[in-house]
Amino acid sequence: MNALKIGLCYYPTTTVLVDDNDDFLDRISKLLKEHLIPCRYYSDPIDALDFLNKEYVTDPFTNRCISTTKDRDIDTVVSHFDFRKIHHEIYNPNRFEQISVLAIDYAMPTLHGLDFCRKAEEPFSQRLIFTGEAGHSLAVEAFNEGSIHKFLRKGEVNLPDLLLDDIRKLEQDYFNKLSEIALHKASRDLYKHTPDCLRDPVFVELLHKICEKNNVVEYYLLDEHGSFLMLDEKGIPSWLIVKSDKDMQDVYEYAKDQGAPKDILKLLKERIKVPYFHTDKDWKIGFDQEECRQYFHPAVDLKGNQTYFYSYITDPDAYELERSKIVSLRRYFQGK
Amino acid sequence: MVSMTSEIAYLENIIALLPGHIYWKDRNGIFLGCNDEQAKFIGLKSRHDVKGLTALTTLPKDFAEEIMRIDQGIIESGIPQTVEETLTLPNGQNSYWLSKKVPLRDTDGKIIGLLGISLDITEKRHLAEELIKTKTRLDGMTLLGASIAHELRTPFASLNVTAKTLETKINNLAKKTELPEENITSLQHDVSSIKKEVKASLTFIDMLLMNINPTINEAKIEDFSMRHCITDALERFPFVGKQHELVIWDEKKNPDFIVHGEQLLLIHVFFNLLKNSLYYIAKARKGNIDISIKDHAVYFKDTGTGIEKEHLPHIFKRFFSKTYHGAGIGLTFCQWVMDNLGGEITCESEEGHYTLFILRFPNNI
Repeated sequence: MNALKIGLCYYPTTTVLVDDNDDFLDRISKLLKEHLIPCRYYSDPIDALDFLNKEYVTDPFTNRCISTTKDRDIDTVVSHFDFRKIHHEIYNPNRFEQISVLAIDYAMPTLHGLDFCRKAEEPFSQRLIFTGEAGHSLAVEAFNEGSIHKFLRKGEVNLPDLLLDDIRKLEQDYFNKLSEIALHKASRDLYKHTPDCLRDPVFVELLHKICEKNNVVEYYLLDEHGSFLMLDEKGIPSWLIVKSDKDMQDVYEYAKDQGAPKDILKLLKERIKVPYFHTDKDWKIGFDQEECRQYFHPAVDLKGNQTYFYSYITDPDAYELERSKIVSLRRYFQGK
Repeated sequence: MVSMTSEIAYLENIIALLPGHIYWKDRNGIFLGCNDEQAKFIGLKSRHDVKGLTALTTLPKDFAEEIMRIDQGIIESGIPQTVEETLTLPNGQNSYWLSKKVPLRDTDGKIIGLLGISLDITEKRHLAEELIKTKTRLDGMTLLGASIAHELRTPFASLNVTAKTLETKINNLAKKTELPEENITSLQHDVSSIKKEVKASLTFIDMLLMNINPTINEAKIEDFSMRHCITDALERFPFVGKQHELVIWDEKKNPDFIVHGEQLLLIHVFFNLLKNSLYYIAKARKGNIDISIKDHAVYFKDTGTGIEKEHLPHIFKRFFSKTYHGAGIGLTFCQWVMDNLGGEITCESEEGHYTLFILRFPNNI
């Protein structure tokens, strides 16, 4: 199977910066702040290591996506990965403090950057090393053994842009890594359906375009079909509803069984509208009810590894959320 | 059968004509004989006149005493020696000698004197000294370069980051506030000029370091397009003001070929050529730069001052520079890169008219 092109969710996470040059540290942290990248910075690697290994608690979103159900046949409780819980992370005020990237200077007097990375225990973090010069053999070795994921020359002409790009990419890798582990576990459960679109570059490109155009800074997979909840920096939600052609066919047949009105069946059969039901309450509304129609959205088709039908909904109240409980990225930065 | 006399005459002749300085002495340091070269050196008409002379009577006193001391040691110990001797000539300059001396023994094995051969190594010695001087200078520059890398790069990197932060801030501000557009534009302009200066400085630091201590990064060897490489170099070169308008290069109008090597090194070759040409165009207050490709070669021509005829043979030599700012390492670097690519760089010039560098690449296809 292809590797994940995006994770099950994305939100800005914390980058830990370590450099014995205070000025450089100060400038980089300001740059990250301006780009709304949460960051902790240390001029002493020993302090940074103390924080990482003694104080910091690794608590990824996947910890909160496990549901248990009672299996009546064998009379035991089974746990499984619950896609519908991923987006509950928007209510977790500590999510931005999870550490995804360690950006470490190569040559520090008290502790060498490579040794730092070997000693840092955080298991999911992605490591970037700042070097004065390219091509250290030690560095290459560390890269090969997997304790380093990226090198960046300080003297690089496009350093700021490269650093921002690298941090974004490493954050993605962090979420991909967490997601692969979660999906691997989920595949052993009863819920085998995982959204193929996360592995489809055409779909991922669409998602990134929507994020860029609408200033989306967080997104969360809503179900096993590929729909996403998105938040901008102020925490205002929008919705990307997605179904594959096969999913559409399934809904159509389900609606037919449920005795849905003819015009609804036509919209589904001809793939004119794509439906999404968010809560259990939404699911219980009959197809013949008038309020059911608000969950049908004009579909745009997208041809990737398979055909998808999607709709991007900017009405923040299209579906029910506890909006007052959302801690937005903007609020997180103001609170600091 | 060859007669005894003619045999001796034959050997005598060989001894006379042996190259180097050959001599033999008795236990008291009195010359018993020598070859022609040695005779000539100590000012004798015939090598037979050497008999009865000593070092003291033929050479300056200090030098002669030193030789006598060494000779005596060999005669007493019976151990052959190789020594380096320094002789100050009447003109005050030093000459250097490498001498191998062995004890002479009679049929009973008793030491009766010594046989020596001395070679004039003055020229070799001068060459070695020159090399050491060059190496010292080079080591100095490499060290200086390394300290530049550390002392200058980090502050420039900080400045680079600050400029980017400012740029983002201004752009965010522009979206939100009611500030007059001209204020924003002027701020954006200021920041972009800071960014440009910082990038230029970082590029020049890279260039200097690359020229001083060129190394090949095996991991970065690849096949690349010559045309793209030239375009890339022109895009990355920190031109000042309207300098970029002086360069004539049309990627689409030139044939392409593939080069196997490290692209970054070749980009720095073009950086060096551009920097030189721009200097000489400024000096001549006329001219432009024309780059073209033909038959697996790049023609890099500027119509600036041109190069003086007597300087032309020396331009690729290390530390040869005719500009007030030059260190004389740029073209040496260019030659090194082209050598490593299996190609060559040559230069044609007509003073007052043009300078043309031709970079020829191996055609392996």
